[in-house]
Amino acid sequence: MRNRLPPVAGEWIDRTQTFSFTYEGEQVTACAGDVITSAVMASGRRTLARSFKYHRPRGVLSFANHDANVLVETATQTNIRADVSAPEAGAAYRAVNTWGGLHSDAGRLLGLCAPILPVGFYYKAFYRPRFLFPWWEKLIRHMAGLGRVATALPAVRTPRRHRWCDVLVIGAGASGLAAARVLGAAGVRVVLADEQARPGGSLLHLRAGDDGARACLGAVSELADVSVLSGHCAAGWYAEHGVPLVGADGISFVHARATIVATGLYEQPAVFRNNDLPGVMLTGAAARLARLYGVRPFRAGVVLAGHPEACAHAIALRTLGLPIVALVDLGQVGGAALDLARAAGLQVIADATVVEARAQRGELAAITVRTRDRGLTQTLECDGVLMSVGWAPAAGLLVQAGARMRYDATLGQSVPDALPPGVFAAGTLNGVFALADREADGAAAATAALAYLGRSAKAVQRPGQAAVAHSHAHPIYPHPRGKAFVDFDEDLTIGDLHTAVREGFDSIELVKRYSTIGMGPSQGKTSNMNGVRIVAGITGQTVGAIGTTTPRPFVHPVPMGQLAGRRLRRVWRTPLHDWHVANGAHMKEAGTWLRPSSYGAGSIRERCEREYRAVRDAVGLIDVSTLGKIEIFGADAQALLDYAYPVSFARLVTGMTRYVFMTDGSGTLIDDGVCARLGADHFYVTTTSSQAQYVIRQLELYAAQLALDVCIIERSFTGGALNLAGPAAREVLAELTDIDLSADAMPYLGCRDGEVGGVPARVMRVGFVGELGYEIHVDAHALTPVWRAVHEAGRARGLTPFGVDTQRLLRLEKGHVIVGHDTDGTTNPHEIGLGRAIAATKPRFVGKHALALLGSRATRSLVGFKVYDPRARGIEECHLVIDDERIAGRVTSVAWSPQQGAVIGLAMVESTLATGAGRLRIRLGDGTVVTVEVVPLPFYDTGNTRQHAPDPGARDVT
Amino acid sequence: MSPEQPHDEMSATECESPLLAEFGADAFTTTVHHGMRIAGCNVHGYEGANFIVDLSAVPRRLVAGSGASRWLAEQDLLCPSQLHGWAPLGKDGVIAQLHIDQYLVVDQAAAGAAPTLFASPVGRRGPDCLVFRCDMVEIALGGPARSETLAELCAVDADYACENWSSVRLAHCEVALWHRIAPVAHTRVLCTAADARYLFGVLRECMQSAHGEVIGFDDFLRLSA
Repeated sequence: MRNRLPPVAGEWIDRTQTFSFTYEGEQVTACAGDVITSAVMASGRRTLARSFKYHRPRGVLSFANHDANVLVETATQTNIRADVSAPEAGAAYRAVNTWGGLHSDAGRLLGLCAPILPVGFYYKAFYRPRFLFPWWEKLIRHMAGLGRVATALPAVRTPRRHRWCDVLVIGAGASGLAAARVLGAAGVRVVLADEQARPGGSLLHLRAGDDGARACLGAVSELADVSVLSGHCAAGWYAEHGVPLVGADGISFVHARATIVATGLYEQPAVFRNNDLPGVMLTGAAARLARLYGVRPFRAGVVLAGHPEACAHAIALRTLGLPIVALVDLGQVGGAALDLARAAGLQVIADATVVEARAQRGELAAITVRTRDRGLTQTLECDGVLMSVGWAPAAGLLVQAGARMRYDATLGQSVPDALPPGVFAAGTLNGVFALADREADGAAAATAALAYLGRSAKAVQRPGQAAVAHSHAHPIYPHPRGKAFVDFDEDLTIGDLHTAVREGFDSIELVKRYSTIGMGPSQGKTSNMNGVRIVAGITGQTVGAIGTTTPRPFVHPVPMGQLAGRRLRRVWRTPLHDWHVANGAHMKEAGTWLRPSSYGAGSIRERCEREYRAVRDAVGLIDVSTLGKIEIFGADAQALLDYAYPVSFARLVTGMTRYVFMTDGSGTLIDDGVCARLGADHFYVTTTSSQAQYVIRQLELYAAQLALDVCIIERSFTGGALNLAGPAAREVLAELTDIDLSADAMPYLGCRDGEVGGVPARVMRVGFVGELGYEIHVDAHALTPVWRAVHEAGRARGLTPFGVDTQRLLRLEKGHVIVGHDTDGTTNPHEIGLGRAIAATKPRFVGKHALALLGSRATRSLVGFKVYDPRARGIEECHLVIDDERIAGRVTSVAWSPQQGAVIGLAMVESTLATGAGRLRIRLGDGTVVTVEVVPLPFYDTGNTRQHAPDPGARDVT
Repeated sequence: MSPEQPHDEMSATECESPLLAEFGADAFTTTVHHGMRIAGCNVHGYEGANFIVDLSAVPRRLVAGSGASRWLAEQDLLCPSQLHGWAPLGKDGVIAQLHIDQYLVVDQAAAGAAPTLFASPVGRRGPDCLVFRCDMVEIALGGPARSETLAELCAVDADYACENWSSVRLAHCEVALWHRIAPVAHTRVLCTAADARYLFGVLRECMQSAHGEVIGFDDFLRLSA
């Protein structure tokens, strides 16, 4: 720890507690309270990382998390912000983006190629010759990016909480603290957030010796009623004053009624040759290192002063024990401030420009400056250059909130011009610099916020903005040999921006996209302002006329893991889930539901064929609890159904069911299912698994629109259902129920309430899979006992549970469609052969007029196809139907049919193909084309004798 | 706990909580309340400062139809005065108006708040009223940690929700929330059985990260005694 300064009161480190870690394999001793950067610098290192493009050595720049110079990684975590992250004892850190380590990085050779890698070079190269592009792509992907994500490690699950308050104050500097104090005293719920580890902002380091600053910081203790979130960065602005505050422990998404933005300013670098050398840093960085962490960042420093306050900063740094060998006035400091510096004993070089920084072994060794009046060039030996040339507003959040900014030439800074309701700005962001003014501005913003909330508060006079510039108008010093960096993230130089403008990208938004300025991890915090100045200079416009780029969320990068939060992934389980799993089900996601695809051992085809044989030859059992279930009763129940569905319910008698389908107003097919009539005013409707919520909503909407006397009750989740299907289904069920299942008493499509397995049940005789079948609906709690009873009763008859994949094969043989699978968002009933079921004579129903029109203009048809060609095993859903070298349709379902001994499927094709030559050409995934035969539906049991099953054991397979 | 084991002893009319498999057999006793097998006691004990518990066995009925409010009044049950309002039932039960013509009646955890209603069979009650069993899952979160948990999983201000019967999205699930201060401060979460396993897992993770404990139904009855 050879670079530690003597202890000072208020420093953030505890020198009595030390521990070790390694950086680039070398041992580093840290104090409790250190961050990685401070500990490494305290050990004497200045080169901490490598740059993104040219792998140039880099050191500290802002030390405020406003740049991405120092990103490090461990074996488990990457892109750790070393400037604000505490090291862990024993951890092994290394710089990201090096090939062979920080000091022997092979990537530095890329710097030699800089002349042939100008901005936008990748737009102009690599695409010729075309065959080489994949090779280039692979190489660039390998070289690009910063850290490497360790994908093999377990997922991190960090919380993402909501938080509510009356006023959110963002920024805990002088103005933010003053605002929070006023708001807390008024008794409103306040959240005060700041990106630094402790509240205080620049008061903590740049003005630490100031009495006013001490008084202001003392006010932190008065914030007992304020919720203070230090170390939380406000990352973006969303609707209704929603602001995510990102901290190490996760994201707090704050919902505030009003917001005060007191985010202050980002200190800006000067642009000159080799301004990226380790040792060249912002003044704030040196002050933080020295004041808060006791680190001596250099042994001989030169201050580049671009505004009056720079002199005060230089004096403050010297007070901290940092040797300042000279203060270089870049021409805008003013006589009074320079006199102050001279009086403090600083050597002042007045009215000078920067020529270049010089390196020794890759680190800063000297800086050359030239006075304007005499053209005198001086080289100052130093290992630290402190840039104190100006500021850019941290206004990203304000702009995202809808604020309009204007450039104030007097201040040399953009300030808010118009703010949206409930949003208030305070402090240096408003161009207010004197400490007392910043506090007054914060208090004024707080009273305005209270007034906005309807609370009375004593009005506070708003201070005027500073009368002199606090930012240098043009701290840009080009050098004929280049390497004057504007954007440190992307290694962009002045020359790159000249190139961009010369090539026609003369708007700042276009320059940004072409050159990528401001698009790195720093999001332009230290580059955009200088970029605007340079483009203004090239194009001959004012800075105000150039404007700024649009800051979008996130203002500051947010780790993907934090965005993912706890990685919540909702899945629905049926009441039988545990039974399925315990009995060898292979579960699959079907929409939100987890359902068995099939059961037992073997390949999926073997499993499906086994289950298929059971259903066709004996009896099978499937869990259909995922069906939507709706109970409708009341005097107008039938009127509602007649309006909601195109089919007729007039002839549906009590104790019977019918197939129903629903369309929207444009005639598009939305859903289908079964409707059972339980009484004159009582119906039970099932829907597809995925559309239950939609159907409920529509039914409730129609009931309200028509003012119907009807009660609609969703039973989808409080009820369960199973389907017993196969020639032996009647015998199995008969053992368990008091319902008369004879063909006369319970015909096809019949519905009866009774008991199954000793519990109340509703039994509907339906035939989705083309066999004698019963759908048994019970309360959810009773489903498992009933399933087990049916399973047990059917064991002697070969009952086999079957899954969704088998069900799809069975229904495909029967030619039954699945809405949402064989249909898409444009399919109408006419296209799938349901036109004749539309009760066009009903006076009104949803989609009536559209369906009438569509009926006469149907251009597509769903057809069945069959093929014996072995290559047809390669046909998959969504493979295209080709006609005359153009797309004429797509396959919607396809499977190998054991009963047909062929590949069978459904395809939605142009109607001309449905009635044409009886052949379809289907293009497979590998580009080959297979010809299939169009056949009438269904493929299986064309006489429907199996599902009607007039007598037990009927066998008449076509 | 194997899903096969409890059923071996179950009758057709007995059922088990959809969450029972989430309670390890080595850590919880099982008990039967109101015909439902459910985790009873945490055998390792508990402090009870912050807890999560499965209360699915609490009896529930959905009373629906234009005559629902009249029928409930005939049962001497006080209906809430407005849509999405609620009225207390017994010690910690509730009657909530879910829809203009639908009421959810949740018995108190110790049962017995509306014995006639819960003892009578479900089905039609006159020309304009239907009574259903309401097979949903009820989870209770207790202690200060519940506020942090709700703040993480629900975009509705819990302070607001405290005063109301709230239909909200919690961890992407549509649930009903209501809060009871006495006899033990807790928040009830009513969700579908389909969501229950997923939601309970998320709630448990959040509560446990705030040092919450998983307790059983009988533990909860003791806490609220």
